[in-house]
Amino acid sequence: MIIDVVHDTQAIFRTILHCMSRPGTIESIADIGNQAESQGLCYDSTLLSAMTLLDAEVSFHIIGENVPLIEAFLSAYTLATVAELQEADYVFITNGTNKEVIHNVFSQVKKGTLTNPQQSATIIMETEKLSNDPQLTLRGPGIATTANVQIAASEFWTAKREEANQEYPLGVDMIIVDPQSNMMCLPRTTTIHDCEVS
Amino acid sequence: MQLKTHFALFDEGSKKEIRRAILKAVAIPGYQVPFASREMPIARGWGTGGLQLTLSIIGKQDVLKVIDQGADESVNAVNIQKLVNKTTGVATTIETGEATIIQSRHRIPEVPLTEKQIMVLQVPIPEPLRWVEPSEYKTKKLHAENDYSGAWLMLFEQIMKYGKTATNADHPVLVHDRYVMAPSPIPRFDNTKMHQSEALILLGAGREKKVYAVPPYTNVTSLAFDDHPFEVESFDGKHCHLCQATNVFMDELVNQDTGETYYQCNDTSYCLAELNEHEHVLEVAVEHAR
Repeated sequence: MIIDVVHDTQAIFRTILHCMSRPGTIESIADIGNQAESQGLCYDSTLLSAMTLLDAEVSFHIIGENVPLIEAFLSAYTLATVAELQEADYVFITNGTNKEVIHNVFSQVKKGTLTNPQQSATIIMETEKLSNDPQLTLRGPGIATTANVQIAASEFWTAKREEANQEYPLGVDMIIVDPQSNMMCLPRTTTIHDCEVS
Repeated sequence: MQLKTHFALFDEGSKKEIRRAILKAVAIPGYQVPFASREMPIARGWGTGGLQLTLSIIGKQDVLKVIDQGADESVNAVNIQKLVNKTTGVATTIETGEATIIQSRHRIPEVPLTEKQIMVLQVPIPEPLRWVEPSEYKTKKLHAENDYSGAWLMLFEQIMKYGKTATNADHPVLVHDRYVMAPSPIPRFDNTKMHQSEALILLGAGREKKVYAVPPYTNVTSLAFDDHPFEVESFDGKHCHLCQATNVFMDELVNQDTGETYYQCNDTSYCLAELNEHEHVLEVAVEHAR
């Protein structure tokens, strides 16, 4: 795998920061670290996000297929440790995970405490496709009025996410990636509604 | 012996830790996220918080501007700018519009910020309740319980004493209707620039080891009572003695010889830009006269 751990991770971090501070904004990281080889285990963008955020100080948990392989792969490259779902700082949900399992993730993950709301999990989720087509309407900090997005299979988790985030400032933040290395973020402050039929 | 420092001075582990804290700060607007503040080659209290944020986010493409109390040329600003430039090689500027990262102490520039920019503010005391509660353990609990009576009481006591809220800088603000936040010691004049700002605002306190943020398009309300509405510093009828600008934050200066009071733009690069613009107009006028 060829990735510049200084400049590529910086560029990916800035993309995540831009997306996290402007929910609904979709940015591509396809040009960054394009030599990344996730060996078909997960999307390249998932791997690159992990390389940017993880190190020996944090823990992660993988949901989906090929769990032992991805775990071994990410631990080797980032030195982060594998933890139980309830304890993990970063939870990766690979594409094709079924609804019940995703529901379980949102119920089980760390949501922080009132004194330390930052001690919550960040979910990095793979989806088939991300676009700005009007399917969901986002509101909240970072969005001037409203933002429209379409996230494939979002019906699997939007209600569960709302449940996980109902006691603000507790909640989970999400980074969503697609196979074309597009990226979008949903901090806990963003509210999601179905688009009204136009 | 010439030693070559790592890009942006920090080792990658330090950057990652600060970056993770920044993302949490953006997700919980106004909440002070603890971070492992690193030793810096400048003294704590001299902008280490802001510097650590800048070094963690900066990349080769960025253009940096550093200001101290509105001035690009003060010792603190120049040295921070030099340090970042020497360790990263990024371009520096004094033009607000050209910068992608603006690190500042005590001011938000007069020129409106854009979506492409990140504002980094240096914070000495990030805790708005510190004046009423010295214990960090207790203030954390007060934030958790959404109990800001201490901040309100401070303003109330000022009204009792002086007939108005007497915060000259660092007037507390409520962010996204949840957290009361110290906006860093910016004048009240600049508090309004934080509300629904187009740029992302990051605040870093190195000595106190806290990072917090105001994402763009977020509600930021200065604390005030119904019968004592929030007021910014007024410069009615005043103008800058150099560029004649009005409606900007100005320094009050006194002529030592005559005792006369006069005013000058606090934001030096804004003042310079205004002067250059007027000079240009003047030249055109001369051209026509010929």
